[in-house]
This record gives sequence, structure tokens and C-alpha cells, in this order.
Amino acid sequence: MTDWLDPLPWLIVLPLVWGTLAFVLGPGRGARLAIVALVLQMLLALQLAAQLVDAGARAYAVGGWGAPLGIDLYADGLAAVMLLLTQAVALPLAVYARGYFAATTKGRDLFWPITGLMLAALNALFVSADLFNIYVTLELLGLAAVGLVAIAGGTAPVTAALRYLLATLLGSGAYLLGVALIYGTYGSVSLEVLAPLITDEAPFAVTLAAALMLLGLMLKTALFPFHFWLPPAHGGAPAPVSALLSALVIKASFYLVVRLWLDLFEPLTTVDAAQLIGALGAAAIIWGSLLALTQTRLKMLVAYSTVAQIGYLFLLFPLATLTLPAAADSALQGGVMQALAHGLAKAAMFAAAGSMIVATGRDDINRLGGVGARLPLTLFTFGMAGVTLMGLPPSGGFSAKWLLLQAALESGQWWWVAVMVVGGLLTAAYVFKVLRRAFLPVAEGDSVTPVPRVLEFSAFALALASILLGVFGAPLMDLLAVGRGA
Amino acid sequence: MDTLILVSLALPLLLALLVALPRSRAVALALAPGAPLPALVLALAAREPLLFELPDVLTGLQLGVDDTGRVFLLFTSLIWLAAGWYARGWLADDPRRARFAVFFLLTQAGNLGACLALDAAGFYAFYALMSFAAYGLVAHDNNAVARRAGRVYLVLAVAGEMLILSGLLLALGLAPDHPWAVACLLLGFGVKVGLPLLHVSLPLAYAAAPAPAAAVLAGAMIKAGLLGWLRFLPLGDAALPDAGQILMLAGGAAIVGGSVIGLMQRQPGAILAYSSVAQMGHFALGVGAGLVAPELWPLIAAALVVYAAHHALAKAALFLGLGVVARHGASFIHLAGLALPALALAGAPFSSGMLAKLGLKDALAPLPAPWADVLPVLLAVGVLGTALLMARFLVRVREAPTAGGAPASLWAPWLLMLAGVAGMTAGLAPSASWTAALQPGVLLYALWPILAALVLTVIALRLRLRAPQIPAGDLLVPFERLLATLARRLAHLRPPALPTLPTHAARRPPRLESRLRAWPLAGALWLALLAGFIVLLAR
Amino acid sequence: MIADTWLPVAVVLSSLVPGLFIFFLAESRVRLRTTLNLVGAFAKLALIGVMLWGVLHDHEYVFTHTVLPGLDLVLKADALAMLFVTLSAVLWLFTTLYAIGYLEGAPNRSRFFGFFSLCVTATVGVAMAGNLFTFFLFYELLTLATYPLVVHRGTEKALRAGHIYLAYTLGGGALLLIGTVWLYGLAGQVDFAPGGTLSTLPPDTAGQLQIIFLLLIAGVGVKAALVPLHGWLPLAMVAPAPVSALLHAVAVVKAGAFGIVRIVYEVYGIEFAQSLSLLLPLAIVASITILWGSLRALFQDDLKRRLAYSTVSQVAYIVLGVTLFGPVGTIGGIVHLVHQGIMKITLFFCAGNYAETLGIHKVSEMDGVGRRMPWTTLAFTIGAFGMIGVPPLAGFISKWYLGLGALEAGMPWVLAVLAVSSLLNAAYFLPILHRAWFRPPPETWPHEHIPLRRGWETAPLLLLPPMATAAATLIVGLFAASAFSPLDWATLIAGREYLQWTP
Repeated sequence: MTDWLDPLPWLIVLPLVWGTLAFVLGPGRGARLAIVALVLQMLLALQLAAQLVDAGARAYAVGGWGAPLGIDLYADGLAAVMLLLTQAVALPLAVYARGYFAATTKGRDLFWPITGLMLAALNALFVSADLFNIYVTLELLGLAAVGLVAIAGGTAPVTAALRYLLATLLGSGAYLLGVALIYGTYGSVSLEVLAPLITDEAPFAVTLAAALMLLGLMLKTALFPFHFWLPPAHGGAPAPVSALLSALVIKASFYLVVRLWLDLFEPLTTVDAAQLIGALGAAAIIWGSLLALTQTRLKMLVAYSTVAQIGYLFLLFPLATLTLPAAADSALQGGVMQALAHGLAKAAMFAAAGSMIVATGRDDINRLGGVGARLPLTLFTFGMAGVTLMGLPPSGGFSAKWLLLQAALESGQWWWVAVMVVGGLLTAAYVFKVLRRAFLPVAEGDSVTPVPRVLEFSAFALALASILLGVFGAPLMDLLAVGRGA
Repeated sequence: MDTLILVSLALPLLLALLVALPRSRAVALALAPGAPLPALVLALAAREPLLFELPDVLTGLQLGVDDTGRVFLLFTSLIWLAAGWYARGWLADDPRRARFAVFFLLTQAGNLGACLALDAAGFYAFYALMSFAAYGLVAHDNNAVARRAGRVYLVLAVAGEMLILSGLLLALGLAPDHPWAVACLLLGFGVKVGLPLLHVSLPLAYAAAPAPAAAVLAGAMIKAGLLGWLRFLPLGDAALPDAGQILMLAGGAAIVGGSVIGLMQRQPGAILAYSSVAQMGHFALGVGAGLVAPELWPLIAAALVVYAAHHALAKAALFLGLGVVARHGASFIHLAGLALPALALAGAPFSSGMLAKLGLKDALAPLPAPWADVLPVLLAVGVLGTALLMARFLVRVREAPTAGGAPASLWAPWLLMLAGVAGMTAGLAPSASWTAALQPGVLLYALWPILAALVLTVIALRLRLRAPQIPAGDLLVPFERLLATLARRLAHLRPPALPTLPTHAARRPPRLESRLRAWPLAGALWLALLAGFIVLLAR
Repeated sequence: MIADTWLPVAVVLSSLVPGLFIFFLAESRVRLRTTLNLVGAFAKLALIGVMLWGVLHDHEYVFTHTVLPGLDLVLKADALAMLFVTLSAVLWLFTTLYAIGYLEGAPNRSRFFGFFSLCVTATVGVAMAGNLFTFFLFYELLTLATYPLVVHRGTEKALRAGHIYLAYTLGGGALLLIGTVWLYGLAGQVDFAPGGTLSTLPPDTAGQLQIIFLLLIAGVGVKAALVPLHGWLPLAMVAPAPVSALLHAVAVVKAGAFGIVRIVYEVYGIEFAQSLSLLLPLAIVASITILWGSLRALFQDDLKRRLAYSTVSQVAYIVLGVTLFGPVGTIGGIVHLVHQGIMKITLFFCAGNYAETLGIHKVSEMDGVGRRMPWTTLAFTIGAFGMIGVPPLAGFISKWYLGLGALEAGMPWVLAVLAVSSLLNAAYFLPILHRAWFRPPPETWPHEHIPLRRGWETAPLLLLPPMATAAATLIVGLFAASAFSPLDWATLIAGREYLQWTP
């Protein structure tokens, strides 16, 4: 089906187009264009999802050439879910960013073009069908993200951006090395071609490649102990950027880990390796939460929360590796649900935090007094996002936790249960640390100025979506099953 | 008749409400003394047993009048009528008389209801209403004495309530003759009846309460406890020799102890209270005998009911008279008026007391050994003790100070009460027992304790003998001290600290975090993990 | 019929929707806010009325929505649910009225009423939850909705209490979650069904089921304030009086107790729970709670704290009733669910009145208050006597059935627990009543906010709700045996739980 109406290519082309145009048109009109285009992208993603549910997973040959010569795109349920997430997060954030950059002009000019580029890279990454294309999109995504971190200017953001750059380059470098090894062994980078070739008797080079690629991607996902670059980068960037990075960019590399681990390298996986990944995830949950608790800056707290939440994502591997099919299914669903829930919630949380910072004029948790009275909706948003992160019902975070817990208990790995429960409680502690402050009256000498309604409502929409995800998540889970061998 | 039952319960409650409301207070206060009239009419009119069911109320309320209940209802309503009338004069100048009236009427409703209720929950409900509302009567004067009396009364009353409830539940849920049920009921109602050790609130309460309240407490309400025994113990159905013997022993102890300690009291009210303890000991004796020998129960029951009516009216008349003396001074006519019920209580010839005591003696006579030998002595001691107590009472009354200055409206209700005592004598007993009682030997038997008491009293007065003193409430005093110490200890218990969400866990990020940011460590970790993965993946 | 599906949802929405609207209302829109509140409350009552009629005629109202594969959100109106829903809705109405009067002129009212509605939504959800997952969902929602109410005043003390509250309830929620997930793993969807559903599991799962029971009970036991999980409750009384009233009477504490009822009767099934010997330990815990709560209440001078400890004790009565194997005990436990709510809400309303009218917060300040505020004190008196279990008030009926149930279950020692607890209840309530009615009033009150006006001892909206609930305390006790009384309804429920028994 090479119909020009096919949503697949358009999802990549559209953001490229509006990103470029925004560069030309300037931030004012660029923003409006971006929002309109994002609405369109959202519709396209929905259309694609509907098609997949009807007709199953499918490939798309760019220009009609097909692999191995041309570029193949491939969309299955997992990819579609991630595409939906991307558009669903990006659209409200674009609305938010438009309001946000009306208040703060720092970095406004470059935001829209880079964001367009970044979204294009993201969408492309999700539907890439070969390892090399994935590398390209990964690199593009990393560069765009680094650019976004740096747009605000100033010493701290640029330092953070540089550190981020180094980390992301190292990560993609390792990944590329792995791709090279695979290509050297099998002479192909197409996932479809490679899948039957890699068996449990694969040569050592493949094992090495797998380890390199996974480690590289973990570095890019900021899994503990490689989270060091994330808090400064996410905590220092303007709020919409932080939201995009935390919600989407790290999910891209996570998505790849899932793809590689569950599909391509599935014959190589061992329980021990999976347990090691899980252990890193568990450490991330605990460490990130504890550090979030010690923060005094609001955005740093939210950033560390991301570090912790990433940990939950990686719990999927021990639960899905060589366990009962039911447990493995639950685990995958739980992991993906966690990615969705965290994406929406963290975007909402960063957006709300941004509003609070704009309103109080400073990034300090201890001086949030009065926010509860003046910005009730924003505080409510923060709270709702917090609910998702804590994994309390009804929310996407809860559904994720439920599924993961179910998988853990069904596969008899109760230790992850303990980790998840403790993590949830720690999350509650740091979320309520913020809420508690916000309930206090305005401190002497501080002032809380109102923020544009659009900032409040767009963030609220994201938080609401993260909650509704928990109630209406079943269709997404059906979609996820598309293309996964039954 | 059903309506009359309802009215006799509703009227006191309604009047209590109307007294509580400021607008209707004046009218309601004027009408309040008449509140027991419907009950009195009911008691007089109900020739046949009545049963009136209200299945929706509580667990299915059953009201009615049976033979026992009728007698209880009769003397109860009469006492309340006289006391209510009396209270109007007694409290004419009291600024808190409205509050008194509310509690008075509520207590009255409870007491009448207890006479009328035939099911367990209903009886318990009215009984509780009576017990709790009576606190307002005991503590009415609101001075230190009244407060202490009220506190002690309430503690015991609540404990009694709980025992009764447990007992009723045990009787319903297990079996009426289950030892635990019997024990709970005996002790629970025993609080009201003033069994030894549970009697301590009586002297305090009777002395502290205003005269009309003391009259109903001592005359009517104490009998509600007895009624509870009669209604809910498996009397006549089951032989419970152990419980019966213990109860009889307790009754004996009450008869002896009440007389002895009563003689050591100075306050007339307290003397009367200990007399009540001793008198109620007779009931314990009778009920205990009923438990020991169920076949004797019908006889004993009849005797006890007569005894109850006699004691209720006489004691109420004494308390009302005591009030008259306190207000108007111990004139000869007043003392004569007091002497009438006092003599009745002592069982003087031709009095209701004589009839009651003879009846009880005859009913208990067939008991097996050793009671057959002990009982006559015990009863004789009881009669002598009562006579002595009455003598001591009259002596103390004469010496007691008078407050004076109240309207003469106390007279009429007192006379009503005295008439009741006299009427009892004539009305209650069947003629056969009269003819039996009028034998000269019997009359002599009734007379000697009175003569003996008279002689002893005169001797004691002549020699100026002073009885040793025991404070009213006897064993209560050391017990109160013990409790106070205990409470102080308990108050020092400290609860443990509570867990909370750690919001201030650590002020600063741990140092490890900044080390992780250093590239060398990060790089080394990365390589180490890479190696680890290779090893693990390669198996 | 569509109505059969959507009625339960409508009941939930009837407070959720007004609540969400209220969040967005400006502080000054008093009239609109009040209207929204009352419309919601009355709409809920009307809907419940319809469902009550239906349930009585064996009509099923079930709403099912699949959240995840194998995970359904089920709202079901069965007899037990209707008991709790009706209680919540009625008391919500009273509390709303009371809160309107109580918060007149106070700041942040939109936020307050928003969360207030959310809180009731959660409670109603808890009541109508048709399976363990749905129960958990609303149970946690309740935690979240009440936190802002607890810390509403924004003082350090309130915030501390809020944090302790969270630490307890979220911890409990975590245990409940683990238990729930585990049980789902063992048995699939765990629907609430009369008689329970777990008895069909293979016998070798008995050990696991016992552990799960422990987890579940510990989870809901936090909210039910079972000793030693009760620590948060006395602190949470820093919340405004209407919140305390709702918290103690219907919402939080009761949700915990209700959870225990559901778990014992409709998840495990009373007979199965008995065969796993789970009931006796729970009965012992409940007994300890009853006694400990009463004992602690004795030593509190703060009126609301005393009431809070009293709640600890009283709610355990429900749990105790649940553990008494036999229909009579069941009736006692379930009916106390209602009775305790009515009585305790009365007491908290009154405590709020004293504080709001005269600035009285402590028992030692209550001398002679009966003369200044006779009606409030009368209501308080009725509530207190009800708690002691004096007939013909509601508490007596509960105790009566609990006592008989204990004997039926062969646990006569429970009678001693009940008696001692009643004694202690009397010991901490009667001195208050003595002070209020018999002591002379002081020269000036601590802080008189509301003067006597035209015969009203306090604001009408503050006075009428406690009067109404006090009257209810009397009526449900006095006419316990009549049709449609809580006792009657509890009997109906018990009849459905014990399949072999007809009332």
C-alpha cells in the first residue's frame, strides 16, 4: 500500500515540514502552524492505529523500493502506541509552549524548529525497520534534544547540554558499534532479515553487539547508574523542553531496548542478564526517589522523579524474560503502560512545575506557599500527575503497576513487588513534599502572580489524559498486541 | 386499656419535654405531679392480665400488666404521685426546679415502664432510662456531697447496666439458667437492690438527694431491681443450688451488716439507707431460696411481692416524713407520723410489716437444712435490727437541725403516703393470713423485737452510749483512694511516635550522587556493566 | 434496560460532576456553589431511592467497564452496597449543609467543597464496588480526596497530621494492592458475591489465602483504624469539623470497615473464612482495638481527640460483628456500620458547634455549656448515650445483636469485651455530660464567635444537622424492628450471606 494518503510517512514528513517552516516564519506563526500540524499528526496516528487494529502490522516501502535497497518502514502495535503517545504529549505541550514562550522569550526562536526536527526523528525511530535507520534517527533525536537543552543559553544549561551531548554520543556510538558487528556477521541490518538468523547459537560477536547496543541505549535512557546527565539537562531546560525530553526522548531509547530484547535478541536473552537489568531498574527506583526527596529545586525534583520512573520501565525485562506467557504478556503491557503513563504525567508535571515557577518567580520548593490558593488548577494538575507516578488508581500509572505486579507475582519474582511498593511510597513522599508546601499561605515578602490560563489548562489536559489512560487503557492494550506473535 | 398503657408511659415523657421547652415550662410544671395518674388508674383497673405488643419498637416491645407487675405498678405509681406532689412544695424556691422536674419525670417514665415491660429489651430500656435519669436526682444539689454521691451512683449504675445487658443476652442466647447468665443478672440487678459490696451508693445517694427524690429512690426504684430478678431469673423453673445458696448468704450478710453499720450512722438518711440494705437482704434471701428450691417458689413469690409493696410504701413515707421534719422541725405530730411507717417497717403487730414478715417466714419454713435452723434466727436478728435502726432513726431525727420555712404543701402528699402504708395493711393480704396473724402468739412474736429495741434504746440514751462511726458508704472510701492512685498512674502512659512520610529525609543529596557524575567513574561503571552483560548473555 | 447499567454510574457522577465544577468556581460564587452542592446531594438521594426500590425487588444494577484485559471496573448495587450508599448520601447531605454553615466566610471554600464532593464520590464508589479491584480504586481515591481536607487549615499541625495520615493510608493501600494482585493471580477476577467465591480454589492454596487475607485486612485495617494501625486517626481530627464528621462517620474509617465486611463475606465467604480459621484472630484484634481505643479516649482532654479515640473503638465493633460466625453477629456488625455513622456524626457536629460558637475545644472548657447551648448539648447527649449503648438508642441495638451473635458464635468472652468497653464509653462520655449539664457556666466563654440571636443558640445551619442526626439516632434505635430500618436491611443482607439461613 503505497497510497500517498498512508499516514505512516506523513507522520515523519509533517513535523519536518512545520519545523522548517517555523524556522522561516518565526516563533509566532511557527507556533500556530505547529499546533495545527500536531492536530493533524494526532489524527494520522489515530488513523494508523485504527488501520493496524483492522489489518494487522504492516510495512511501508518508502518510494516503493523496498528493502534491502530502499528504506522500509514498519509499524506494529508497539510502534503505533508509541506514536500515539508522542503526538498526544506533543500537542498539549505545543499549546503550553506557545503560552510559555509568550511569557519567557529566552530560547523562543529555536524551540519550534528543533522541536519539529525532534518529533520527526522520534516518529521515524518508532517505525524504522532496520538497525541502521534506527541509528540515524537516534542520533538525530539526540542532537535535537541536546539543542533544546541549550536553547535557553547561560552557563548551567550549556554545561548540562554538553554533558548530555557526550552521553548521548557515547550511547549512540556504542549502538553503532553493535550495528557494525551485526552487519559484519550477517551482512544485513534489516530487522526482518536478521530475526530468523539470530539464534541461541549465534557467534560471540553478536553477543558483544547485543551488549554494546543495550548498554548504549541504557546510557541514553539514563538508567541508573547512567542517570548522571539527566537531572541537570532536564532540570535546567525551559519547562516545555524538560517536558518533551522527560516524556518522550528517553522513551525512544527504551522503546529500542524493548524491541531488541524482546524481538531481535530474544534467543540470546538469559534470566541472569534480565535480572541484572531489573536490578538496575530497582536501584533507579530507590535511588531516584530518595534523591528527589532531597531536592530543594522543584524542577530538579521532577527530574529525579524521571530517574526513578525509568526504573519501573526496566522491570519489564526480568518479568518478561523466560517466564510464563501470561506473565510475559502482563509485563510487556505493564512496561508499555508505564511508558505511556509516565510520558503523559511527567509532561504534565513539568508543565505544572513550569507554571508554578513562572508564578512564583523562582524555582524553590520551600517557597511555593500560596500556589494552592492562587493556582489551584495547576496544583491539582501536579497532584494528578503525582497520582499517576505514585501508581494510585485510577491512572495509567496504576494500570502499569498492576500489570507489573501481576507479572511479578505470577512469575514468582516477589522481590520486584517489594521494590515497586517501596518506590510507590517514596514517590508519594516527594510528590506530597511539593503539595504540602503549596498548601501553605504565601510567605512574607513572596508573591504569586497569575499565569495565562492556557498554561494551566494544557497541563491539566495532559494530567487528565494520564488519569484517563487508566480507565480507558484496554483498547491501547489491544492495539499493543497487534503484530506480536500469537 | 392499650391506650392507657401508652398514655401512662407517654405522659411523663411528654411532660418532661414540655418542661424542657421554655415556652411551655410553667404549665408543664404545674401538671407534672399528675404524671403517674394514668399508671395508677391502670394498676387499679387492670383486673385481668394485659398484653400490648408493639412489634416495630426495639426488638419487639411487649407492654402489659401481669399479677406481679400490677402490684409493682400500683405502689410505684402511688409513690411517684406522692413524691411528685411533694416535690412541688419541696422545690418551690429552687431555681433549678425545672431541671429537677425533667429528670424526675424521665426517671418516673423509666420506672413505670420497667413495671410494664414484659420483654427483655424493653425492660432493659426502661430500666436504663430510670437509672441514668436518676443521676439528675441524686446530683441535683450540685454540692460536693451530691457530686460524689452522683459519681458513685453512676459508676455502679453503669456497671449494673452492663451486667444486666450481658445477663439478658446470656439468658436469651444460651439458656436462662446458664450460670453466667444468672450471675450477671444477680449482680446487675443487685446494684439497684443493694447487695453487699454493691450497696455503697445507697447511703450516699439517699442522703444527698432531695427528699422526694430519696423517697422514689428508696421506695420505688430499688424495687425495680427486685422486679428484674423476678422477671428474668429462672425462678421456679430450675434448681440452681449454688447460686441460690450464695445469694442467701449475701442476703444474710446484708441483713446483719446493714443493721450493724446502719446503727453506726449519724445522718437519718444514711440510717434509712442501711435499713434498706438490710430489708433488701430479705429479698435476696427469698430469691435465693427460690433458686435453691424451685418447688417453693410460688409461695415465696407471693410473700416477696407483699413484702416489696410494704417496704416500698413504708420507706417512701419515711423519707417524705424526714423531709417534712427537716423543713418544719421535729414536732410531736411529725414524729408520730414518722413512727407509723417506722413501726410498720419493724413489723409491729397489725402492721403491713408484720404480715410481710410472717408471710416470708412461712414461705421459707420448708427449706431444707441447714437453712431451716438458721433462718428463724436470721429473720429474728433482722427484725430486731430493723427495730433498733428505726429507733436510732427517730432519735437522730429529733436531734437533726431543721432548715425550716417551706410551705405546708409537703403535708398532703406525706399524708397520702401514710394512708398508703395503712391501706397496704388492709388491702393486700388475703383474709386467711389475717386470721392467722391475729393469733396471740403471733402478735407476741411481732411485738418482742419492738419492745426489746425500745428498752435497748432507752438504756443507750440513758447511759449516753456513743456508737462507733463508720462513714456512709463504708468500703467505698478506701476503694476511691485506690482508684485515684491508679488513674494517676495510667494518665502517664505515653503513646509511641508515629511514622510519617519522610519529607525532610535528608537535607543534602548524598555524596555518591556527585561521584556518579564524574566521567571516570561513570565510564568505569559502564564498562563494568558491559562486561557483565557480555558474560551473562554469553552464558 | 439502560437504566440498570447506568444508575450506579449516575450515583457516582452525581457528586463527582458538581465537585469538578466547584473546583473551577471563583471563591465569591457562594450561591452557585451551594446550589451545585445541594443539587448533587438531592440528585444522589433520588437516584438511590430508585435503586433501593429495585434492590428490594431483587433487581440487579450492574455497570461493567473493562480497564485492562482481565480487569473490570464493576459498580454493582446489591443490598450491602445500598446500605452504605444510603448512609453516605444521607449523611453527606447533612454534612454539606453543616459545612456551608461552618465555613461561612472562610477562605478556599471552592477547593474545600470540591474535594468534599470527591470524597463522597469515592465513598459511594467504595460502597458500590463490585469487585476487589474497583474497591481498591475508590479506596485509594478516597485517600487522595481526603488529604486536602485534612490539611485544609494549612497549619503546621494540620500538615503534620496530613503526612501521618498519608503514611498510614498509602502504606495500607500498598498492602491492599499486593493482596489484591495476588488474589487476582490465584483466582482471576475476584467479584464480590454473597457467600464468597474463593471456596472453590484448590485446598493447597489455603496457606496463600491466609497470607492474602492478612494483607487485605491490614490494608483496609489502616482506614478502619484497627490497633495498632490507628495512630493517624486522632491526629486527623485537626481537620475542620465537617471533615472530621464525615471522616469518622461515613468516609474513611467506614470505608475501611466496609472493606473488611466485603472481604470477609463476599470475597472469602464467612463460612470459608471460618474454615481457614481467620475469624478468631480478627476478632481478637477487634477486641483489643475496642478496649484500647476506649482506654485512650479516657485520657484525652481535647474533645475531638476523645471522639476520635472513641471512633477507634466503635468502628472495631463493626469488625467484631463481622467476625462473629453466625447471622446474628453479622446483623450486629452491619447495622453498627449505620448506627455508628449516625451517632458519631452527631457528636462531631456538636463538637464543631462548640468550637465554632464558643471557641470550646476541650472537655475541661465545657462547664455549663448545656445552659448556653441546650439543643446542641441535647444532641450530644443522645449521641453519647447511643455510643454507650443505652436503649432505646441506635447503639443499643448494635450491642444487643453483637452480644447475641457472640453467643451464637460460641464466643461468650466477647460479651465481656462489650461490657467493659461500654463501661469505658460511659467513663469518658458521662463526665462530659455532667460538666455540660450540671456545672455552672463560666463568666466568659473561650472565644464566642456566634452570639445568641433570636433564640438560636448558634447558626441555624450548624444546629439543624446535629438535631436531625440525633433524632435519627433515636428513631433507628427505637423503631429498629420496623420495616426499612437499618436493622431490617442488615437482616436482609445477612440472609443473603448465609445461604442456609432465613431470618
